[in-house]
Amino acid sequence: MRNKKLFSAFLMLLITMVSLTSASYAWFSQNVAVQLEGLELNVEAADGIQVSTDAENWRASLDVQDIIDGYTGHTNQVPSILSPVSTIGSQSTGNFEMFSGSLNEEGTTTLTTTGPVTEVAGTFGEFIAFDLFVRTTTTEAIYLDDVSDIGYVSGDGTSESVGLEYSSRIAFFNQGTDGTYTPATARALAGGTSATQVIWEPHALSHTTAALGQGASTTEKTPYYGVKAAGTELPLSDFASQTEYFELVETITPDTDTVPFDTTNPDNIIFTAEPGITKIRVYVWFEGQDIDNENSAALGLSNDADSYLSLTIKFLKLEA
Amino acid sequence: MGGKVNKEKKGISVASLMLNTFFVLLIILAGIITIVSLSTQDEGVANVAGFIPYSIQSESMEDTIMKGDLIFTRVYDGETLLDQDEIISFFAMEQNQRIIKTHRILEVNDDGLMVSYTTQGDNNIIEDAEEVPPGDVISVYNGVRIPKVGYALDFFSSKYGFLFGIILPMFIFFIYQLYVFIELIVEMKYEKKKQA
Repeated sequence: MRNKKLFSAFLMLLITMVSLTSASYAWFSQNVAVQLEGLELNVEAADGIQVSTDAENWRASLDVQDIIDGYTGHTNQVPSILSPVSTIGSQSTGNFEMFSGSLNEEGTTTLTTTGPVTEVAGTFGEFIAFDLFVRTTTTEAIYLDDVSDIGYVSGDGTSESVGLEYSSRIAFFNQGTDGTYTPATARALAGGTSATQVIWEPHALSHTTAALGQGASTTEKTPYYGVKAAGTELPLSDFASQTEYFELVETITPDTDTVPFDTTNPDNIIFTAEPGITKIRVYVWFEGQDIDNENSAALGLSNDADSYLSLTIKFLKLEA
Repeated sequence: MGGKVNKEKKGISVASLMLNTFFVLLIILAGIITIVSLSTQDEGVANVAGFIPYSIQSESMEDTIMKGDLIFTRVYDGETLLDQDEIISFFAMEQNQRIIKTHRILEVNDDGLMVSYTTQGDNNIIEDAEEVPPGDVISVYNGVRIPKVGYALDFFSSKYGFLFGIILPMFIFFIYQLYVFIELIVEMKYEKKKQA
């Protein structure tokens, strides 16, 4: 009898222990937020436009995890911390040619550029690049809604950005349309000579104090020397070497800025989606040659370690 | 005197039974919430063997589904063409945040190439602003709802509700059971010693 009692007590103790352990584990795992720190990324589509990261599952909105997951064989590169790179929007094998660079300011200032940088799937890299698929049944001119933005979000609610986002760029590289609505065919699209691209500078008219001191404009887009080739230690101050310098860089002006989001202005068309599945390669980067990409901005978003970049892209189409 | 002792013993037995019943129910509740928490968590949605429970947070579907109800839905396969009047749970964007809505299908838009659903809450005056593509549909309501239980699930699923409503009482019960177990062992050892 006593043994039975002991056995019952032991069983009850065991059940309670197992329940307590699993409940504690469940509570703990629910409250440990696992997220990509430093970046919030949303892609939305309005007006019946459908978007996808794999050309098969069609949705009205995508978040950063959807983009990281992509499809088998994708090269979606989604780091949470971006480093400055530069490009003129030139294309090679279906991708933008992005270059890293560094300035040596000891003695004669020289510029060294390396690249093009290879895009690798995952959460590492200097810039964001991912495939986006858009499905329509009629030809649609696609614009950006004015909630589209890349901005700084304070983690502690009081810190302010040091202005790194002012040098941000978002590009939409139209790699073509598959008119047969076949996912595998759409995924394989890679641009080519007919591919078009638009570079958007969200904060074209906002500048750091230092940039304003150098004459940056608050009324129109400021051109810059985008990097187009790799080169070593090219002196910037020696204009006798100007020819060599311009072998590395090219003057470009972003195709569009945030003001105004005027759908009657054809310059604000981000891309044209033909009937079928259109593949867009989206790039997000801090332009290293931008006038706002200087040392004070390069300290990071701010001194608030919990701050992060928030990127929203929302497509809409011209209403008939 | 004997009667008083018997009454006291009876009282203790009843209290003990009630306490044990309470803690058994607590263990069952903890088990349910633990299973829901640990089950497949796809995009923040708990999938328990193909069914997804939701606690309704708004009045948009009243009087069909009331705020605070716990409803059960079956996971959507992503391919089946849904019917008009079916009630679906789906992802939607509101003020840059992804939320889950449960509304009725007003119209199925299928041109042979693309499918989307026009939806509306039964208690809403106008239809939802954006059509719902199949990829945003999470699950389909199967008609099972438990009134007001959603509120309890919300509380016990919250960080502090779970901690103070389930884990803390279970921890106290565990200590009590440990005490009972040790007491029994001590008693048995004492009796053995006595017999020896």
